[in-house]
Amino acid sequence: MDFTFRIAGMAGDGVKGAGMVAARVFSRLGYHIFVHTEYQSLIRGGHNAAVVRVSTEKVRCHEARGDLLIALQDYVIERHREYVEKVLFDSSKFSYAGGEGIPMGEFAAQAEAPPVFRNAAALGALCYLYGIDVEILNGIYRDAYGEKAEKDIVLAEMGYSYASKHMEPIRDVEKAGDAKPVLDGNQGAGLGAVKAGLRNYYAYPMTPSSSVLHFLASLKKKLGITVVQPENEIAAAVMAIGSAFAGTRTMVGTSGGGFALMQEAISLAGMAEIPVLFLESQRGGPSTGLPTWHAQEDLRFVLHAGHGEFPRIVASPGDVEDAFYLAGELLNLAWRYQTPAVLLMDRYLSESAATAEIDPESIQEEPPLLYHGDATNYKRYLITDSGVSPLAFPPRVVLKATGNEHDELGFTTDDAEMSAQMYEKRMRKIGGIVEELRQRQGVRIFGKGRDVVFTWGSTTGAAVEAAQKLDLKVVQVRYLSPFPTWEIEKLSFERAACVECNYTGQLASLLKEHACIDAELITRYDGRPFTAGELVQRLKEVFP
Amino acid sequence: MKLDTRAKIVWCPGCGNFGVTKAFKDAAAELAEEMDLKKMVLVSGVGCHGKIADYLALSSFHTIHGRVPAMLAGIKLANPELTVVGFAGDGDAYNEGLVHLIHAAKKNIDATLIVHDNAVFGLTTGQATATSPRGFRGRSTPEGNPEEPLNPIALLLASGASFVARGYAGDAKHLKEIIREAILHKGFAFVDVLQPCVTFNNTWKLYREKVYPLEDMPSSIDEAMRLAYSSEDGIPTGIFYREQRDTYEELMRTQRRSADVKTILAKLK
Repeated sequence: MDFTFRIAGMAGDGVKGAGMVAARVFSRLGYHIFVHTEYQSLIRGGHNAAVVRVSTEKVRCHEARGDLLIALQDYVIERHREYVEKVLFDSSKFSYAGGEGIPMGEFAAQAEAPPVFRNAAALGALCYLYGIDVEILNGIYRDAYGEKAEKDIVLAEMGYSYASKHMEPIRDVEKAGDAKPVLDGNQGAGLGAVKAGLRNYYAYPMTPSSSVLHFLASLKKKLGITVVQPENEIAAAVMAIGSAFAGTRTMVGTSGGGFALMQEAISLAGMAEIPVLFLESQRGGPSTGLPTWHAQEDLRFVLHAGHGEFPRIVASPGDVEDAFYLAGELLNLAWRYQTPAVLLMDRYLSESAATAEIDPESIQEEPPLLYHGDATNYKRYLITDSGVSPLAFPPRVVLKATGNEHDELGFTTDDAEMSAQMYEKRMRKIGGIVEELRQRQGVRIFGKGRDVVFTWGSTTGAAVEAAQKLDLKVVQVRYLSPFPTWEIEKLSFERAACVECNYTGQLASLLKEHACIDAELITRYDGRPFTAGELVQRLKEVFP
Repeated sequence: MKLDTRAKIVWCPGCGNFGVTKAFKDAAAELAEEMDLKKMVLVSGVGCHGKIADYLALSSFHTIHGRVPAMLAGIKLANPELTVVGFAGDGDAYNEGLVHLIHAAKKNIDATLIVHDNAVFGLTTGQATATSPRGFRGRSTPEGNPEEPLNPIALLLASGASFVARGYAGDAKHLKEIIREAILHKGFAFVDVLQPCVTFNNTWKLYREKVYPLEDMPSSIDEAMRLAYSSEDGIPTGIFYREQRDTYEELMRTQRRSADVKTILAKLK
């Protein structure tokens, strides 16, 4: 079983929330779900949509074609009509000859609830159409709102009852297994970092990274973490560096524009050897660009973040589980190698929710190299073979850090010999990072096949589903700096394609640079993610 | 605890930074009797003043231009047991990083910020800063600075700093008293220190004639603000204002964790 339905309305209609509640109905019945949302950069009006895909198998992306549209505004129907069989609309607000009406707004008024509660009536009707006990839906409202769930429950039952009298069911969805957690990439990344010991999170709001800030702020008391929204992105980066200098694990969240503002601080972290994890979730650019839409334009930018040379660790997750694991891995790597790391997300991964089977115990807070010697003779920048100097923090030691070139004690120097030695010490850390990455997954390989599709980030989802249909192998390049050449070179294949959401083919150029691979480029740069269906067509053109 | 280091001091002879350093060292020596100086962490910015981190045998972070207040906040939020003291230049605090200064005051981070205010960019060889007077002839303003200078005392009073003071590098004894009080103050303590740059803006003569210590702290913030704008009777130094209010890190502190990641994941079902 694999089907899709859509909910659409204007901003303020609670479309995303309704989509998430609807998805949870199915995840509680043991189904895999994927929720793709579309919204515009405005607060009221416009067009918002949630596309919910439900399947007995794991699903990695949304699907355009579906059973049903729940329309909360008349003007949104046209956008979706060609993709769905049936339209359910709010007949108390408008009429639509091509669909089936349910007076959602009237029900909300009868229940003395605000108009936005009409969604509950729509979702009650949805339960009927899919042959689901409305009690599953009521349970979700109860868990979310407690005693305040009463009106939602009344409305859900009104919707269910109305549908049972006036409509024909679409499918009979039975329980398929145990309830599965549903989370989006931002939540996955936030929790992965927490599992690896995150203590301080700093972020200035910016779509599509803001929900990390909201999610961690809502959990800060439970998780015992500090969540700060400072005056701007520069402050976020510098505060994080200050916290890490003082000994706590920190992460900074932003999108491309905010990350641009942080460049000087990232360079400081490189020079002063401060471990900080940056979460950069890409959106359509340049500049303000397409603030609420998807893109993978910042790969080359992030690989070169900050001026000057220093080790940068960059990785990009392919799905929600991967976001959890990579956030944890990168926070650990940043601390083991005392250098900045970037978790490169994208809007489709950050804001799409999916059922995720995460093994939290596979991420632990891995101890960094600590200094246990005499407290009076601490050399913060001790020159070692690995380039990694043992860490200690005040008040145990006098700790001197600096953005200037320095000697082992942390005093400023411009001595030629010492400058070269320190430069080499920092760069030697790359060797250790590479050795460590050899033990981790530099790439993820999906499927078999003589031809290979390279991709990265959330495009992995559509690539894997499309490749399954065409017997292709997919290689998601997970670590992007250091580039996992050793894994790429092990691959054997006849033809190669590279799929990514930018114009120039940034991963494709890295494959050429590091592994002399000429991949046929498949790109999309209109703010929309690939769907599997579209990608099947594009891959057929490349691999005739 | 010995505060000197092996680093060779490279400020110009007669630089105001010597007065600030002496005042800080004397204040720290006195404070050592009531606090553990190993818990003190210094932050300095970029400019001539920034070298002070090398000259003091205390934990320090010589950070980038303008960001000293944000760095102080980050350190304090990570470990509230530390006493954090920042040194910044006027270009550092009032040009490059003004937003951080205002917000550190607004948040009331428990930190001290000492601004080495010589009203000129020294290390980059003599350009106008936000506190250079109108008409100042520097290398970037050969026909005279067209801008009016900022008034740091008035600005910090308006920004909500809970301790606002002005010191003078030529009166290290008075400055020591101010710095000592600033460090002991719980909340954001701001000290603007008038200091000459002997090479690019030598104001020794002006300050010797005009600077005088306040006898009493102004009785209200209105009075402090009036004094911040007074220039007829000379340039008053001392503590302009202080109040007690909750510090940011106290308000932001979280208790020990009550849930783990596994529990949160289960709740997302």
